[in-house]
Amino acid sequence: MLLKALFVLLLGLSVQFVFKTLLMMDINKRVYNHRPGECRKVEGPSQGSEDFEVIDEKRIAFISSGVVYLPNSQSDVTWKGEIYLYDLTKRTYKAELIPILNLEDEEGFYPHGLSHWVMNDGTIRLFVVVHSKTFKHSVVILDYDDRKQHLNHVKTIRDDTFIRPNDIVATGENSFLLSNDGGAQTELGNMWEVISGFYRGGIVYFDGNKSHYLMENHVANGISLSRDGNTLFVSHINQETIGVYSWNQEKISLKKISEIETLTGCDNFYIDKDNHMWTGCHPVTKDVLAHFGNRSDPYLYGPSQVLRITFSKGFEKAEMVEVLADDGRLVSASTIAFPFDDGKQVLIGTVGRHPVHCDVAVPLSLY
Amino acid sequence: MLKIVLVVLLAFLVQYVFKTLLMFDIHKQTYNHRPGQCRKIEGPVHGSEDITIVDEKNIAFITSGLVYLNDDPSRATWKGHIFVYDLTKRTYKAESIPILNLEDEEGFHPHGISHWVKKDGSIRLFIVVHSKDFKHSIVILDFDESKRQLNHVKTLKDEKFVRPNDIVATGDNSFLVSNDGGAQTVLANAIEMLTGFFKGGLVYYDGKKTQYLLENTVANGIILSRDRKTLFVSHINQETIGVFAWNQEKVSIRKISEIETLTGCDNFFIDQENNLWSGCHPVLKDAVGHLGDATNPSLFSQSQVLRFKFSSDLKTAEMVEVFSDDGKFTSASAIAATFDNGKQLLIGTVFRDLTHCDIDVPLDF
Repeated sequence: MLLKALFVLLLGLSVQFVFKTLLMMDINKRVYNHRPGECRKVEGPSQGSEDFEVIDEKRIAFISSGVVYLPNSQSDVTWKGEIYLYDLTKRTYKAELIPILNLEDEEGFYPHGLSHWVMNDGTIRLFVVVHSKTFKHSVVILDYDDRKQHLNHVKTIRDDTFIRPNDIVATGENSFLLSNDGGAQTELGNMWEVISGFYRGGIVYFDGNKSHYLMENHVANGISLSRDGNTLFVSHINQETIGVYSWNQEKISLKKISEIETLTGCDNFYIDKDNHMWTGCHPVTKDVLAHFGNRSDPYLYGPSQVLRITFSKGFEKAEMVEVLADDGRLVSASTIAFPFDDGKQVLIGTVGRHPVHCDVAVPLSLY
Repeated sequence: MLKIVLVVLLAFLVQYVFKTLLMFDIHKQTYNHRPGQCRKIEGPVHGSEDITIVDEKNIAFITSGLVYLNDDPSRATWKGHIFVYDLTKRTYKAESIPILNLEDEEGFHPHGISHWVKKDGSIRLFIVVHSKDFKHSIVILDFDESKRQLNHVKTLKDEKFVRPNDIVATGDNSFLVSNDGGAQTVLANAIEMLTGFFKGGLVYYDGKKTQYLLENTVANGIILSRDRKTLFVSHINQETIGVFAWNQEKVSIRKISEIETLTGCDNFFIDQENNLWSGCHPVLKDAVGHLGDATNPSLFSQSQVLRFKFSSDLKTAEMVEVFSDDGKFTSASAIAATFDNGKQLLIGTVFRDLTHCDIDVPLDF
């Protein structure tokens, strides 16, 4: 009798588990293509444009390219990690590869998340999440030499708390917030982590000397601070939500405000001048996983979605406008997007393919 | 032995529940976007369920005031109307047009609409009509352009008009009509939907008699290609669009393909370039909630406008989403029609107002 009850309970749990997993894979979803205006691919970063960093003051954007993520073996990684520069004023549709001087490990430089800080003398300092071919992690700090158009290596930081870093937000000349998007270091380990729901990612704050955990046992993918530096946005990508937290840098404290359900896997964030959040999302998980599994196969691609999210006062709710949706043939697996030229243009980045530059000919303020 | 039967039954039940939940589009939502500036059109407030555009005269006829699966006639407190909208002037105002000599004025609640241009150039309208107690007929009206009125020509009732939804004129006195189910009450319709034993289909009326072309299926919106050789049928509950070759001389239909859309596409419009346009219901559970209590302003459901470009063999289609709304602006879109060389768009809804948008984005890519 007890055994029977236990069996029924176990059966119920497994049915419910399968159901939830299938929904998580987005089996009943698809993308319906639309564009906000004319779109063109940007030449240059053909092996990815996973994160952008916009320098408003100079009207340029840095693009990280060639991310390595949970590689099965080193020999699978046939591309180079690079940082590109795109001039936002000229419509060249071509990004320029920028040299990086004095890297400790040139072969092991595969950039992921990017952030920048403008130093007191006006110099731009880049903070880069870096993986090696063997998926070892570090944060690399580079200073941009505007005149010579290259990046100078300043420092490489390794730490136990950089478990599986994804994105980064600079909070000072030597301090930053960092997201870990999980704990597993192999594809199989990650699959178990995702399916079981026992996540080991989180948020770390590095104050210039040491690191502090702010959040543990979570998924934290893209992270971004509001323009005033008081609100931290965290992509809980596997739960298809965006967490909103108040951030107090002096006290090194994080407090949860809300969690916005998006029903799509939003990756990296950009906060525009009017405090709208822009993000590149993966609306159909099952297709994007197939693409990630064999990133070099041109016949495999993942659907893309660009959302502009406007938060209510107090960050309790959000309105979403879909700026672009693509089945992957133009934009494959979008991760980041940002507007420029007073919102009349948008640049969209992808995990493993080139960025796309679009005009915005549609109204975005609908309410 | 009994155990095996129970396990099989349980497995069937689990997969049935799963399929039903997916059919109701749980775990789905819309993300708002517009193809340009959009404005509401004054006039139709109780629906704009179907639109037929008369290219020759640059006007659109719009049906309004639909009654659907109405268990209680006293709930239908609104009137049925036919509106006319001038497509050249951007007035954002549609005019209700008088209908003369109707047999049953109170029982005129129009649904699907189609038009035919007669040899003398006059426009004849074919309209699916329900009464307040959900009796069905096809009403034929002639448009008197100089007097701006519609003159009643004929009302047709037939037992094959089981639950008519949409209509396509094929001649001065002939048409194709779709039945979107067989049930006449809300409860029976729920059972029909949940069991999957659909009793709708397609009927052809040749001017004298009716004949079945499709049976035991769901047929919602229907339309013919510009060359009148291809019939498109919305199998809305299966979230597919059926493509059929239509031979009017032989009164025969042959299936070409079935396009899976993963959204409930309602009525159709064929543009000048033979693209198919449709107003869709992307999240069925919300659509059912809204349509079940149509006069409740706090209930609304998502809208989606899709444009389909078919391959030359009609076996595949590229879909572009032209418009998407969570329902706060446009609730439960049913039809979309373009004009002004594809630069403008009308979006009709089942039970709410009509929307007029500019199209400022590229759709061919």
